[in-house]
Amino acid sequence: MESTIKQLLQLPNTWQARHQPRQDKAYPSGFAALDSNLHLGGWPAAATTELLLSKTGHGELRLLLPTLRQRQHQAPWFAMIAPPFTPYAPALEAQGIEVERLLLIFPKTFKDLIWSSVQCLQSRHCSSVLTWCNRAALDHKELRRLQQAATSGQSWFVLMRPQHAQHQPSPSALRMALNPCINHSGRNGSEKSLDIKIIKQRGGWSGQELRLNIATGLAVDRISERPVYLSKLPEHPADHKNLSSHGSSRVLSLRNKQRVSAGRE
Amino acid sequence: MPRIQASQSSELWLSLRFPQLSLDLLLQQRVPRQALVIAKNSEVYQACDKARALGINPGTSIHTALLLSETHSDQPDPAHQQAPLLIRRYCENQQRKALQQLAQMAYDFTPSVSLWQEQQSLLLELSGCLSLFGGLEQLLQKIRSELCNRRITAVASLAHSPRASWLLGWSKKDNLLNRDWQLQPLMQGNISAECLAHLQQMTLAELPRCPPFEQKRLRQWQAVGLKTLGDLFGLPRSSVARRYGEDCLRQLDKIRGAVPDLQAFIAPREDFFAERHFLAGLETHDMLRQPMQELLREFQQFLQRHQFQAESLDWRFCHFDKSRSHIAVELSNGNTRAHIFEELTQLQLAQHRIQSPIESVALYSGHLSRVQLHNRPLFSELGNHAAATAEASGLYDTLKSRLGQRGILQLQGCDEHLPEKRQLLTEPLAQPAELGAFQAAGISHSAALDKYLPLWLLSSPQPLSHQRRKNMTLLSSAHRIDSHWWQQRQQRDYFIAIDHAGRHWIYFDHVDKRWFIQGHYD
Repeated sequence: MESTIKQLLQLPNTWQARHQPRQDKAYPSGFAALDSNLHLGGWPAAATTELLLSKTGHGELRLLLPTLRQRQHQAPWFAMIAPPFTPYAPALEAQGIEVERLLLIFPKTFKDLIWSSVQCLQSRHCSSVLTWCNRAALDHKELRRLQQAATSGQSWFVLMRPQHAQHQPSPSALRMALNPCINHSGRNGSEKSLDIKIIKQRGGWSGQELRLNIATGLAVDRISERPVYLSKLPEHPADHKNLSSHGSSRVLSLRNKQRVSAGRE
Repeated sequence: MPRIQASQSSELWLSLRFPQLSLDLLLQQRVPRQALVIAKNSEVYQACDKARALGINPGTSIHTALLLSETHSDQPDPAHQQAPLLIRRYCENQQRKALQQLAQMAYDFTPSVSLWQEQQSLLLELSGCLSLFGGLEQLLQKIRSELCNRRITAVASLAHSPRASWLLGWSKKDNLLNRDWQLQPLMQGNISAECLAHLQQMTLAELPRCPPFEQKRLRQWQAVGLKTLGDLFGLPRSSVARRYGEDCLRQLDKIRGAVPDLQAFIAPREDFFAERHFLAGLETHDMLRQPMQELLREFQQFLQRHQFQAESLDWRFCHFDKSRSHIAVELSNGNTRAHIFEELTQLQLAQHRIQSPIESVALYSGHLSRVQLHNRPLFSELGNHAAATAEASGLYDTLKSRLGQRGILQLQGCDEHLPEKRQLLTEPLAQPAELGAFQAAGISHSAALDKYLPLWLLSSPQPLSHQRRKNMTLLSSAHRIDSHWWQQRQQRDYFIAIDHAGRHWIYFDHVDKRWFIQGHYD
């Protein structure tokens, strides 16, 4: 009995709470508040990070941008698999991401999604792989396969899933639930923040909750006096009739003709 | 252009005759339990060993062959479904292509290969290659082992002139090579004298019935009392010319080697074609795996020997019901490795459905280019972007084979004012484009304003419902785009707005007088 326990304790995967956390490599996230809550000091390298989102496309990319920018030089490509919308390249370029390295993969079936993620992870030519998975119930086998591919390929893997998947157990190294929220008390009026809850950390404590302001770098000017040449903004549909159009009369008549001919058809 | 060379007495000609080529093509994969014959014009053309043991020889009619096989059948059970004799029709096209493939194989050993389609033979001139292969015996054994690997039976014979070597192959005792392709001890000292001596000993009866030894002429010679070729050579030349024609005399001189015998040599092919035939049809993907591996190994050898690299493969399947199907595999960069071709083929094969049993599998590759020689740096830490991206194209190939044309895309910049036109989703280049190409494309835009752009763009602007617009708070002042007056005027005021879900990029269209949402900020 004692020897069995000793053998178990000597396994590399066994962690005891009184030991120091494993010296795994981590990529700093760029947000000091988040790094201080992650026991590795950043995103786990060569393992899966699961982000459980209440609404896809609202907050996760900006959270991942600093690390993406830092990691992009490690390999020729980085991949976004099944993104919810199309990334806007001029904005990415402005944030320092080299768009020529981006590969957008649109798989048609769920199996293709898992397969292409595994291929990108194993190939060692992708510095980061971001996968958006709509299906809540992922098989444990598939999750293990993805994690093993990430470990073998030494690339950074982030898997985005819907939030109600948090109750399903998963072998991923880090699981966080993200909820976008508006912080009305900021200096600039309303500000975008993310409510982050750490559900699982391999080798560390979980349960931390924090509110992260990810609107950094986008100081927008408040609406002050509007310039004279701009007309009043229409707030209600009724306002449209009162506004003078900026289009020339020739353009207007052309548009009316188009509407009439469309109506005839 | 085929090379033409006269035969002189210092030459060494090896004749390879393939008496049962069509049979060997079918027996290459698996030897069936029954006897197999190839039928031509309702007669047996080629028969395998089991058929010969039953008494079926080339020339017997099919009916006789069937009768013989049934009487000798050792399965008296009438309920047994298998036919005792397998009959396949002779296909001249198949045999021709197989002989051409063998000629290309022979090109590995000597550049002077002459193809003799009517007699299913190859004539190889070996005198220039002896030092490369380390002697005549070594060269002969290499050729023999190559033919054994392909499971093709050949009759080999050696002489100083092409026709003489071919004729000597028809005689068992006069052939200079024995069954194991070893040279008999030379009595006369050199090969040409030895050949002449052996030729003279050949009897007219064992000669094949081809010009100048047609049936009618042979009967004439036998009537005159000539028994061997030596007797024929001994006749005075003028009388041979007068009685049997100048043509006959010239051919006899060519056999002797007194007159040059011009041969047209083959040119090496710039493409690759190899085929495998099956007696029983292949129906599943697993059954296709082994022949495909063999064909790819042959292909890799061919590429390495000729220093080519392949950019595309075409797998062609012929089915028993005469239909054809094919799988095309494309690569972004030229490659020479069989395992890469195999992986890509398996990916495509998984999506391909086999409609009916497959009779033959062929591999064709037309786009072959010379191998590019790369310089690799000694220290990988110094970073070699070019070498890494050349390897990275392998990832792109793999993804594209499974996901198809529009499954993997990249963003390309355009010089436009309207935000939705500033980027295009295009097929990626096999290697990342020059970094900075995107910026260069959008050169008219100021970087300062680009900071306010959203990270996500909707595929097309969505009209914003009044209720939703009411829930949004505008964060920024307007940024106006007034453009395309030459086509359809677009006058838009862009704002950053925030609601419970996050920050969005919305605009008011002054032409349509509506609010639209075009992007998300996070």
